[in-house]
Amino acid sequence: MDAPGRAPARQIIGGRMMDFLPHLDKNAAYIWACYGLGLVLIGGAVIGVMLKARAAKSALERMNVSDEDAS
Amino acid sequence: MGMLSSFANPHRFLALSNWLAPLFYALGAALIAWGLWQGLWMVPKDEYQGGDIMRVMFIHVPAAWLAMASYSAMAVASFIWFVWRHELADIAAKAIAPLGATWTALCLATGSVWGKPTWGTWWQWDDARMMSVLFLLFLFLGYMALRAAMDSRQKAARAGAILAMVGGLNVPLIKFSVDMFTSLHQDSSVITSEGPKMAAVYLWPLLMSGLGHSLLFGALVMTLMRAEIWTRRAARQRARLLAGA
Repeated sequence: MDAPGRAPARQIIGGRMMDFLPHLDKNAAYIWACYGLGLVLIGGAVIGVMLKARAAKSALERMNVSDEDAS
Repeated sequence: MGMLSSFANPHRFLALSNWLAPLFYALGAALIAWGLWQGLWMVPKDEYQGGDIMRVMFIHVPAAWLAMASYSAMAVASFIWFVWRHELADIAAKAIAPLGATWTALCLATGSVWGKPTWGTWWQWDDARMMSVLFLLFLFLGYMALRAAMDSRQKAARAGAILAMVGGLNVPLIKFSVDMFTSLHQDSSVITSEGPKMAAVYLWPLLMSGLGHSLLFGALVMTLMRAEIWTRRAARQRARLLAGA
């Protein structure tokens, strides 16, 4: 609950967040769009590669177990 | 050639990449974060370059460098496979393709977004720089599609290697497109015969960001190569089990 006479908590948090972000001119939306694209594409690549590596390692480990069981 | 052969040993590569990849991830992430902080918060805006919009440079230019460098690396790896038949070179070329396509797409997308407020257009179909980079993306996608369409690993490696080597001709075309043809894109300002034309306050964060992207890219390639080696080993074991059954 917010104290009387004070700004709501979410406004304070939002305000602090805005203070933290760089102050950009009229093209701010284009700049954030570019960095957002970078985050999505590079972050997506990192996650995709990690998942692929994990799946490949588990498949090999499963195969090793089957190999040991067979021999 | 002897050194190349010894490095091309998958066991040695797995041992080396086991500690090198995490190091590259950490250094790459740190340098990209530093470049981001410099680019968005620290460097002054350049009114000559359109004000704050020039801050896009710290993601667009490293993406463009990586797009060209990754295709060159894929073409060199393909050449090594084609001439010496080192399996690891084929694995490297295969691993580079999807990541190169990702960074090329990032270069095109950020360039298009940067172009709208700067040139007043998202895209120009008769621009040599834009079209040659778009062609590079199609080469990466075509390489992956071609490999996937082949019914054996040898055929995939051979067809892919030929496409990667021939497509390599597009890389110098991209680099010199702004000098040889009319383009909305500005001339080279970092890699020029007279040295960098950019002020040091922008150049260093850009170079560090480029290094960060390169290290992260290298770490991702190593991880994908490790995955491919494990996949091939599992396939061999499966074939052995089936043969023994």
